[in-house]
Amino acid sequence: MVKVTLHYGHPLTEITGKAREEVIVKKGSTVLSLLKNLATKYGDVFKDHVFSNCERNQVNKGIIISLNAKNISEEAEKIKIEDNVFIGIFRPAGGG
Amino acid sequence: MKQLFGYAGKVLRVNLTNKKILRQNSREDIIDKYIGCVGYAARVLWEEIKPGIDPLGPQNKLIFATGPLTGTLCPASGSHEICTKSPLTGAWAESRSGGFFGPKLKFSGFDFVILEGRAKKPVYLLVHDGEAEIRDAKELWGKTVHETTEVVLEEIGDPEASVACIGPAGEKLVRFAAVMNDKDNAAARCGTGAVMGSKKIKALVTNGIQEISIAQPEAFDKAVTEANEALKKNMPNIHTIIPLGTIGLVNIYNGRGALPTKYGHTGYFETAEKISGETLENTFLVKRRACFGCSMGCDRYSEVKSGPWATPPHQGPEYETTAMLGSWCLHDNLEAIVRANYLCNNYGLDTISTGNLIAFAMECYDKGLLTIADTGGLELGWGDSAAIINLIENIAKREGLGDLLAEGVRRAAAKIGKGAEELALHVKGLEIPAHEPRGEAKSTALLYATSPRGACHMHPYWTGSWEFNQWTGGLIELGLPWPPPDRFAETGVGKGLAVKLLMLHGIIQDITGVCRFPALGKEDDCITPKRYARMLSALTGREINQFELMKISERVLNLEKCFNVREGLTRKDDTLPRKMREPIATGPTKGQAVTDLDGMLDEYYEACGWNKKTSTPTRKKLEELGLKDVADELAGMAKTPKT
Repeated sequence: MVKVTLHYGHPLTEITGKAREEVIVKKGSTVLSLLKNLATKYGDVFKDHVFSNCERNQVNKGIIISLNAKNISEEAEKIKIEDNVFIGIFRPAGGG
Repeated sequence: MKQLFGYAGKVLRVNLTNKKILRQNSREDIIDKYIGCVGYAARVLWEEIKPGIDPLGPQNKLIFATGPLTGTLCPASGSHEICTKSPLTGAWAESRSGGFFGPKLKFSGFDFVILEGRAKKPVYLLVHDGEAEIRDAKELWGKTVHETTEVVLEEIGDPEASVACIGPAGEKLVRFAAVMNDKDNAAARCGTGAVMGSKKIKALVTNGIQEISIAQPEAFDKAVTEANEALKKNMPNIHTIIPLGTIGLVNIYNGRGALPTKYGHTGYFETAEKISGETLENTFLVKRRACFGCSMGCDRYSEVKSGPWATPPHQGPEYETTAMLGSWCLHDNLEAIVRANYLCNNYGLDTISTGNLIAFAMECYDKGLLTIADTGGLELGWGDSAAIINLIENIAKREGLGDLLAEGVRRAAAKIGKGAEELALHVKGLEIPAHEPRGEAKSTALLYATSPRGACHMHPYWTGSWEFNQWTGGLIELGLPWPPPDRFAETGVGKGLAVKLLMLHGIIQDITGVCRFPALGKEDDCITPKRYARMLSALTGREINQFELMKISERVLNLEKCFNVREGLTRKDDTLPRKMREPIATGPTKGQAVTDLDGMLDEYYEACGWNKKTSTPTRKKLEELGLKDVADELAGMAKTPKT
């Protein structure tokens, strides 16, 4: 099993009720499988926000999925999770 | 003079030494080549101030500038910029603010106000309906920004007027003092408030009912509608900036390893959630607010009702303020941050520089470069709310350690010595803001090094948006490399060209007099150069396309650069502090560092057509841009190469 620190940006902070959480996942599982598990945990609002078509494994193009700060949105299905990684799910935003 | 559609048509020139007030026509030759706002101010300052003058002396000039789109139905048109020679950097200074001052200045009949000389005693300037009056400000001197605003509005009997003023910090010539307007909007960076204080002018007050003429009203309306339709699709605004304000970026930046923390040690703050937009919303938020003509309404309005950090309702805090007075200082007390923001606003301090200086002081204290004797008995532990609040007071009043810090981090570090200069985080003397360049994107690192006003994440443009968020700004048809490379890549992937083009896009907002936020996004959901060109053409009656508009931006960028060259800045000033070359210590971006700034600079200079050895624009480039006179002047000073 491996530890993942998840980070969320708004509105996922509202949907999940948190900005950060640690989860334990099976070693070798993919980022996509993690996203699907989160969708099961947090329901349709989460799922509809993150996926354009969950059944077809299509992540919403307007979402950034980052793994240790690398944008892996289009590779979520392939990338296997290693221990102590940071995974972020955000809408692109910035300025300040 | 022919009618200038889109402009008020007049410049107010006020000599504070002899109290002479001149109403001049806005110069068509400058408008033709530079459009307005920062562009116009850059040309005036190039012509009218000599290199080497003391920024706090009477020979410096302070220009309040609007652009043709200011005060119109163009989205987010509530802008003005203040331009001068900076007392913090000795270089080009431009400082933008929102609110209502810019539009009201235009409605009062003036595109620009140029302040010259120095008053013998404190004064304020009343500008209304095409007229101006210098008034005694003896009773205002010493008052805070909020007090000044309230007293002045009551005195003139016009509660709808807009007041731009300095607080005690500007009066005390704190080198990063801000000019505040409408109480809590800040033209914060570069120390424009200190220049205003040096001239003993406390406030400008303005209002009026002059209409701005539109050359082609139907076409303008259509172009504005098209711009608004694009903005309706802007998801980042819809999901973050509108509901939470810019402070909504705290959790996002932290999760992406780009939240500057503990004075550059890392980009990851373990307790970031405590100072996030989500937490503000659930605790101290009173309401949202918007600037003139803006549908985004990114401003927050907060209040702490009781406790040691009790604070009356006021605007803020923004992302930059929260990060600089929060994670930068390893500080997670949001109540105290709200209080700190209020104090900075009221004293008239740039929150970015203030936060940088406070964290610098904590870093020096931590390393023994400052002792308890130096701090006057004030413990400067990381994350200490009382220390932060105390230092803000001391800086604004130039008391104790605050007097040293009020000089800015470059000068303060030089005085402290003992290696402090290696710790100070600034570029050209302007304190680094709350975008961690190692964690966000290497284009941000390049921007910090090359922005004419010093380390800045937004001027001329937030270049990090390209790789960090994969936003085009509508620049692909203008040559923006696409798709963007990895955000941590440095050379060989087009970052020099990209930074140049993104800067030119940003300068469009700076010369037309509007806020930058609507220009951030993709082709179909932001205001692109093409959309700005359409609005500008219909407004002014002068047909201009996006390519021509970008060319004018390039002229302005080169003029700002030449302003700096004339002041003696060279390639060695386009640099980054040593810490940016050290790896980030923790979090998602652990290990990231800037490794080849020189390589990035070479690529940028090549893209700009500038000499790589000196960074000076070549004669060929300057003549191409219609700046032969600038090239001649620099050559006369032996500051340009022969080609």
